[in-house]
Amino acid sequence: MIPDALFFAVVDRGKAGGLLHWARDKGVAGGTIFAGEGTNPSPILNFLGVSEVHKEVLMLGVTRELSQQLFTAMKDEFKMDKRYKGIAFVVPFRQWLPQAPAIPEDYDREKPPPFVCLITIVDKGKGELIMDVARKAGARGGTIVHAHGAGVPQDIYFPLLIEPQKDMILIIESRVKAPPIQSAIFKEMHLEEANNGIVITLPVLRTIGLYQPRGDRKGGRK
Amino acid sequence: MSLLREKFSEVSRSLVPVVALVLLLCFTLVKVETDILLRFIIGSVLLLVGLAIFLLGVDLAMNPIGERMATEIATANAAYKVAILSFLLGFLVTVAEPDLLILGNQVEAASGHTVNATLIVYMVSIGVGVMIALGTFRLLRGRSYPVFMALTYGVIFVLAFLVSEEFLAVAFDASGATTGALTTPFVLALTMGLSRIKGGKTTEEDSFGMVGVMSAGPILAVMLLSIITGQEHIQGEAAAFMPAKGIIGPVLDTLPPVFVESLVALLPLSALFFLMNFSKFKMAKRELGRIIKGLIYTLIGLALFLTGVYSGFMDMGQIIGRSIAENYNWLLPILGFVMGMIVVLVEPAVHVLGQQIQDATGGRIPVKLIRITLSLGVGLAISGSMLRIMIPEVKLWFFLLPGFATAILLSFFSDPVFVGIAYDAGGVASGPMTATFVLAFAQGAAAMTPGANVLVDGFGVIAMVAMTPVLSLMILGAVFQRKTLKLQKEQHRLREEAPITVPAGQAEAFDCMMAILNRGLSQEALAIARAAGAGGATIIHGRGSGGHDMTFFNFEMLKEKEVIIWLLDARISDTIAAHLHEKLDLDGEGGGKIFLVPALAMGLLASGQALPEEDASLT
Repeated sequence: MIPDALFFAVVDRGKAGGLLHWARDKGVAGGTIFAGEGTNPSPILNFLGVSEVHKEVLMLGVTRELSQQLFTAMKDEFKMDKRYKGIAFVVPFRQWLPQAPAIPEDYDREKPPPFVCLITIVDKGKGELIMDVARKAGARGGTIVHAHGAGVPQDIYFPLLIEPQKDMILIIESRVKAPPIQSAIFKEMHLEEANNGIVITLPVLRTIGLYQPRGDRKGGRK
Repeated sequence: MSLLREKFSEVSRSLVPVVALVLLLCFTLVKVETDILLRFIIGSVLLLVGLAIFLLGVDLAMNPIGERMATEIATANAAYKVAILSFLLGFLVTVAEPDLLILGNQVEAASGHTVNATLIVYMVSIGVGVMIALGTFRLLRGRSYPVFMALTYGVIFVLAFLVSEEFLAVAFDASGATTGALTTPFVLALTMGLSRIKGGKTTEEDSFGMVGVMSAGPILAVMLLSIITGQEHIQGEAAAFMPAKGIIGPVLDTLPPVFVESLVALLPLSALFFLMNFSKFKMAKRELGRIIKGLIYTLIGLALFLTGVYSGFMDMGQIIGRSIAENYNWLLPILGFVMGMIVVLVEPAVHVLGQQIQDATGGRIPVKLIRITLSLGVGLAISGSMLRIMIPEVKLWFFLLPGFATAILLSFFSDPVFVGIAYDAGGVASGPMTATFVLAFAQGAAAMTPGANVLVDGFGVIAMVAMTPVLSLMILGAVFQRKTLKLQKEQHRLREEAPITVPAGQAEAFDCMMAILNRGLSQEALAIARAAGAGGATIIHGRGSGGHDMTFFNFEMLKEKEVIIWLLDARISDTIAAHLHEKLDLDGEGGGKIFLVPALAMGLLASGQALPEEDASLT
């Protein structure tokens, strides 16, 4: 079977390894883990400068059928539908292989998915600012991943490839609530100007662990 | 709360065994007065709180400052600027180190005031500055690290024949005193920053090794001092041991001077940072605010930590050492081994190094494995020191010379990342806990052992701690390398082909392409994609499994991976993916995978223009 979805899970730092093990028992071929940071909107913690929460992102190449099984198992075994247990979501990434094109010719780009994943890539250090902007526009939480851009040779004393450090922010929202968040990020960060950053929106088929606040959007985290 | 809680649980996990061991001894073999026992418990609490806060401060302040400074160094446009700045950083973090001044005073007293304490402090700081500058050039120029270190230790070996055993011990001690609670985390952060900016394939191994380079500075400086001044012997006796009386009193007496000490140690670096921020960096208010908070945490945490260690642990160490040496002499090597093993894990720098290994290798190398190897090394060091105290015929160089020689030899056959970590480990392990608690234990043991010299034997302990972890980790690295080489088989080839023609006109739809590749393939992948018409990309460092994983004494070793994300014109995404697939030869097992997904049309075009109707299709 060609994997036709990527299953993402955002969990507390140190737990992704075990989850990968668990997933392999469920029949997943392999996965990739990278470090991320969640944020806690509490003003007190923010004042103390300790609002950061260490997270890990696990990425598994799966078939859609398998992803459904994973969701059920996660709910049963990890109670992921409860608060603070982490979140998981599926993006319909298709693996590219010579025998089958990744995106079918008749793919309908306009068909709205139930959820979307907003990926914002900006210079390092701006990640928390993005989260502030996103929260004001209604986002409930997000995960910041430290990444770097492709190297650009620089004319300085040492023959170096300077690799600009970047922050990548993942925000999962329903497709109804995502556009205002995206517009807010776009406007506040002046992404219309070159080199300021970029926002990508990817379709998400299903999520678990998105906390639904009672009084609507009052903090909450992932 | 999570970050703070994380630090607390991390520190308490390493502190509990130490407290348990001491309490066990107190209730069985060693008779300890109640006030000292209570003070030890208060000291433990202070240590727990202080170290957790300190580590938080390192995260918030030391790491970003180190990274900023690294950027400044690496992007300087002239060699002399690089030299001056890196020398200055090395000099400034060392010159204010309180341990170094204490050592200077000890040596001044022991040498009958022929060697001036201030002279020692400046010599050592200059030594560190020079070594950091050389190390920076080495790193940025991309010269071999094992060769660099072999040359450095070669010089040390030659000089070692010219100085007396006492000064050999003092020299290594000076190196232990320099790699204190504050300098080591900063130098680690600086190295990490330098390696990140340098980028390329060697980022991972370049993230380590500077602490090792730096600790050679003081050794060379003190040896040169001894040769130049002709100073050979150290006489005198250590001050008589007098445990402090009272429970709260000594703690409160210790706090103010320790606070001032910590402040002084932190001051030169902070001043340099603010000066440079004012003239160059001009950081955003929020970021600067974080760093200021971090510096405050560092200060408070360090002061509490050192107060706990000085007031609660030192007397306890002396008493345990004396009592065991008097009554159960044969137990010393065993107890020394256990003590060294668990005490080293409370060293602040060990925690910082662990975090850095996690960050720099994307979690590929299990931090636990490193910690276990490190503590085995330190355990052996203390055990060996005890033997040296008990048997005067056993000389310090019996251990140091073969130990370092083996380590240097192994460094050429070891996994490159481990070489840096191993050389760093010596400096990392010889921090404030070793310099107080373990040293006090050794001095106590020496005081009660006939034929042992408290001063000479005491000085050698840190030299041992600076050597054994280097050796133990180098052995681990060599074993690791053998395993990796066995597993390495495939090698890819890059074939030349005509570039793809990018269709004319503005892109209307975008695809998001994600490639998950083994580390080392990413530079090539980026070049292939760029040649095929792709734009910029973002790279994330991670770890992953692809079927054939290796295990290492129960530790699962995941492969190091890089995740590359592109946003591509939908018309050519398929072709680019095909090119990558073919040229990187991804049909083989575990080499990498490429995924594609259509990005929704609500973002912006690659040219930077917003799509006009970005919301319409979705709301």
